[in-house]
Amino acid sequence: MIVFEGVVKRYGATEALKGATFTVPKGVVAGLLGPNGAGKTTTIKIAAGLLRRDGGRVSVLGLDPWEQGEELRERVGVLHERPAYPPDVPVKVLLRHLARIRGLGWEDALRAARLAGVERYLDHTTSSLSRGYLQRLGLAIALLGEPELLLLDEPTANLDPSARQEVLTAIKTLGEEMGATVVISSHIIPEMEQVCSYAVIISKGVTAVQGSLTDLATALGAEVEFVVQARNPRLLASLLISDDGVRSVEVDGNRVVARAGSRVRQRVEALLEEARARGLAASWDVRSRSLGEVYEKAVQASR
Amino acid sequence: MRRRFRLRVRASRLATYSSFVAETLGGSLTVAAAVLSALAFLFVLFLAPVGAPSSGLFAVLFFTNVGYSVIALSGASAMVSDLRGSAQVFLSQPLSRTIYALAWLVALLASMIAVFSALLLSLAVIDPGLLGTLSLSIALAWLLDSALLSLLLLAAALLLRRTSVLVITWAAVEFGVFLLFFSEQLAQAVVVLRPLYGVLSHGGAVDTPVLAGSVLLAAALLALLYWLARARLEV
Repeated sequence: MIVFEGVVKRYGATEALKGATFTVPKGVVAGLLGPNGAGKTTTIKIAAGLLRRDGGRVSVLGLDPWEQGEELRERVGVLHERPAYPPDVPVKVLLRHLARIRGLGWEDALRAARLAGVERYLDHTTSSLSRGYLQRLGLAIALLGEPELLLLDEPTANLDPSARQEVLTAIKTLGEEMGATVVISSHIIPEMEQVCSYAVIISKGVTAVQGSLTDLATALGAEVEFVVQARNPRLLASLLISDDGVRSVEVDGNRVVARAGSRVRQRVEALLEEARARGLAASWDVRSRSLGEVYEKAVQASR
Repeated sequence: MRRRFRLRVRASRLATYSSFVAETLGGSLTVAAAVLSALAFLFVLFLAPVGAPSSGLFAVLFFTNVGYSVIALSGASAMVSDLRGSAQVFLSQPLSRTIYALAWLVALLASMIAVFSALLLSLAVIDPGLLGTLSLSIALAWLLDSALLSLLLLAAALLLRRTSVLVITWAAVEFGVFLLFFSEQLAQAVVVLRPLYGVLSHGGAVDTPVLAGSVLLAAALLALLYWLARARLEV
């Protein structure tokens, strides 16, 4: 879906990207993570065809963003970090024009406004909206036409805690319900942990690591979670906690969640196979909730 | 078939965005064009006598030309502001960089045609005979002169993105040319950029070679604008 190969971008003497190489597969919610100045915004803008790369190869949805930007952006929605809107233009006028550029009608614009929660502010001018509602307007614009790919640059910036949560939930829902691939640039790790299943960590203009959160956690020795559908939760929990590598076990109805270091992942999986054979467990899933740990290790390793 | 469809889609996007520019981003363009048209009417009323081409009629032509040049300057300045702000919102839509730049040009040229049409209308309302005194070459010179300035300002806006550069370019084109008229050879070259000045030097007519040179220069500036938008417009 997104392929960056040795991408270089310079601003005068400053090299923002120094050969970034990564891929984002179709259907994931990917976090583009990195410290301030790592090159996240530049990456998003190159992927959207708004900036020209100075070297390397970029392919988004099979298209070259700089050369085939118009065709690409028919299928992509973009939210910018600090979007600037024409002042004193009513929200509905702006949305209607942007929808028309996409060949959409007013109903489509209204639907995007509802999804982003700005439908009550359609008659307000852009200059009268708070930062939070400007961010929601940006989200509505990005959602116009229900694109296949959403590129969101710091989508929760400037939002209060409840609005942040709403936006995160909306992003997760969109990823799941629309089947869209979502790339979110951010440095707020706890938020990304809630929504992302895939991560690309950039540091100083190069890709530090990339992959699914579970694979990254395994590779970097971070904690992983085993979410088990149990047939006998109590007995399964006592079996798991008796293993030295398992750090904690929680029981919630028929669900048992065990946390362990990724280095003992194979041992715990063997234990779960044994439990399944004994009729204690039905199935399980391994996931990572330790993006912060992964991030720290990846950034430190790249220094 | 697919090529024709894409061409139609692009034309529709150009129309949508240029109407947005005219309505909102360059809303002042419409107001300024309306004010200038009203003033042109008054000038025609007082300055243009009935009959043969006169200095009064030329004064009206120059007045409206300078008035439009101010509109072009304000339009190009609005483009500079947009490039620093909301352009990234529009260019994140399926709008190509070249269509973005052409939409601004279309908005400016639409204002130019509105001003010139208002001038023609004023002449027709006050005395239809006055229309006969305005030769085709003079009308073309007025339109080319204004279009060349629009193209030059938009190219400068895309290339340098500074309002101060636009003001300097505008002042150099509007007033700097007077200095060049001290040299006969330079004046001949400059008249290609300012064909309306040919009216002054040729007593009410503009040479065809001058107009042809102006058309070629306009085509070159249009190609430059297209190239700048395609190759260098980053937001």
